[in-house]
Amino acid sequence: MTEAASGNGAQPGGSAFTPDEVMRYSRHMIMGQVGPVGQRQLRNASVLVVGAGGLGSPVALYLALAGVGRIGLVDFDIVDLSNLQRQILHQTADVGRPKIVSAKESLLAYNPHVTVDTHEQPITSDNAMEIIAGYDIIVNGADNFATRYLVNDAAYLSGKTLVDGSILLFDGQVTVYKPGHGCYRCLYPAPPPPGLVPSCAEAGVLGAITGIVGSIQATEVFKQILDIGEPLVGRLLLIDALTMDFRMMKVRRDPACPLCGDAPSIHELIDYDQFCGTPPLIVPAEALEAAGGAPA
Amino acid sequence: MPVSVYIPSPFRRFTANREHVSVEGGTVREVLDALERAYPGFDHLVYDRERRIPTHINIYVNNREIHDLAGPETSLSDGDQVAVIPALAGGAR
Repeated sequence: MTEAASGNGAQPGGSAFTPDEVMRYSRHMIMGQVGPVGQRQLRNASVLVVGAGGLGSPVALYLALAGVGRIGLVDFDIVDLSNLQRQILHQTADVGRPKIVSAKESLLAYNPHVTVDTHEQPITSDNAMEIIAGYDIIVNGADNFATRYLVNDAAYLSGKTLVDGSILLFDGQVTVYKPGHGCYRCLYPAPPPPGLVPSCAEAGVLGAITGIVGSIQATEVFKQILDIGEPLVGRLLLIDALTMDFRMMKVRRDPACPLCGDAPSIHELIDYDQFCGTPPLIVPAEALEAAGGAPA
Repeated sequence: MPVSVYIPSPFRRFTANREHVSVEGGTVREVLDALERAYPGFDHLVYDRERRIPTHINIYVNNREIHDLAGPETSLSDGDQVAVIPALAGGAR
């Protein structure tokens, strides 16, 4: 009997799905593009989500709901009341707790069949390669340019696909960087001077835009794992929630890119605070305490 | 020749919250100059101190970034769509 005919996916590459899992994932498994084989691919996949906030919340949530087997979360922040307008993994009772803790609890409450690995520390040049090495696909939901360049460089140097998303006000941007097909530095070779492009904390952000962009990022992850559809590789999706226009821009690999160009000059991670002209991250005392008192 | 320029929401405080503005220009540079005349202060968004377009700003003509075309001297035709897009960093906090 074929796997599709058996319906429970009892094949090499993992144990059979339980009746509960078959029911839980049935709306995916009945689709020809997923099926039991695809569902097993999802279960066998590992995805690292950088940031457990506005974008990381919907991304990680949909990954967990879909049964992506191992989800990694990197964050060192503490849940603040101002996060709750958009960061759907955290609730009122979580204010003051480490985001990584409430995020993991939420994900496992939604789906106890997945594994959630937490990295309660800032991602830095010292640990990024080691953290990223443990995952198949990387998702960027960072909130500052230094981390965006760091994650871009680490993903490229690790040969990993990066699903990138960013938001501000009513706008969102989403793209997928696959090694050899361009990177964040090809799109934006250098960051803006500090203070020129405001953060969400400074300028504001529509809560629902995080759901739109995060859901698209999760969709791109699924497409990568299942090897279906046309990925957002070489394309930048611009979303304007006010006009509800979706624009698709071309992204090309820049032969002069210092990371992925023809004669690269970046072969290892650099000092991204210096590159971006920003002060080093200050880790909240509560996060330090939760992490055991030592900065990562 | 009037050209339609798409203004993303982070830049709309300079264009009276208008998503699309129409200015005259036969090249991208002329369009940027016209934007500054129509909306004083726009220059600070799209030029650095040396009046170069900074690398966190991408300008697209019909969805193609101008570095793939002729840069700021890219010629524009009737009906071309110009978009001025900044890098965004928001995501977690």
